[in-house]
Amino acid sequence: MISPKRPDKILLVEVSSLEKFLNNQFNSLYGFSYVLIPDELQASQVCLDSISSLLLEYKDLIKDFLENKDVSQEIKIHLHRFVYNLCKKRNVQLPALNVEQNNYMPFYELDIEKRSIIYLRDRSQFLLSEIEAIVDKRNYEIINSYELAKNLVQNKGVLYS
Amino acid sequence: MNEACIFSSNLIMAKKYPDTYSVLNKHLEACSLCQKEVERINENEISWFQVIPCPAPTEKIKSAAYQEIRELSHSLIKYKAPKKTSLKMRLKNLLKKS
Repeated sequence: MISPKRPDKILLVEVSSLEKFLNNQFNSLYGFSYVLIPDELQASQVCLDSISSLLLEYKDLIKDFLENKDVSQEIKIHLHRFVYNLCKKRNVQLPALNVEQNNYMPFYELDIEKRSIIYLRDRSQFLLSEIEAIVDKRNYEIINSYELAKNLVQNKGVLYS
Repeated sequence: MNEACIFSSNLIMAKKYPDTYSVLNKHLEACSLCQKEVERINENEISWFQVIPCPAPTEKIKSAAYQEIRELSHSLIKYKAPKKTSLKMRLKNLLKKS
């Protein structure tokens, strides 16, 4: 818990700005989470668990945010990292989920790491260095996975179409 | 234009860096080889983005999540009761004022 040094009214305004920021992040986190675990409730729960992990583990970073320091991108990376790690664990525990969107079958047939890299790079527009931090891989491993995944999806896409 | 047109291999770079693109604009207008390459890249880009899903939460999920986020972020505010001043201190303050 962050003990308020300033009057509560000011802190309430700052916490509201944090709330607004986290609400904005939810949509992008949900998209990422859903492509890793294609289930609405599971994906939503993973996002909320990531937010609560962030609030518990990165108190200093949250404090910086509340003090209006520019740490939003750093928070975003940590949130995506939490989502990735949680999804990786839960994906093993969950039974195979049915993906109804046939158009995306080639994508969903990729492993969780490749799906993450494609989504983070081409949908979320993260930089390579940021993806490195999220999936905890070296840049050449990421580039290799990305190219391999792209080939697999495009080749399978031809088979499905 | 002949087939050894150097700009064809640089088109991807040009797409990423718009400044370079403006330099190549004049060449692009004249070179049919480059024009074909641009078309090919654009078609590939479009079909590639069509195979990547872009899921969005439903309104129901969003409102439930927002409620949860509200509770989580407001849990950061730790209530601190104002310090009670002792009777001795209050008397001292009163004496000072008088």
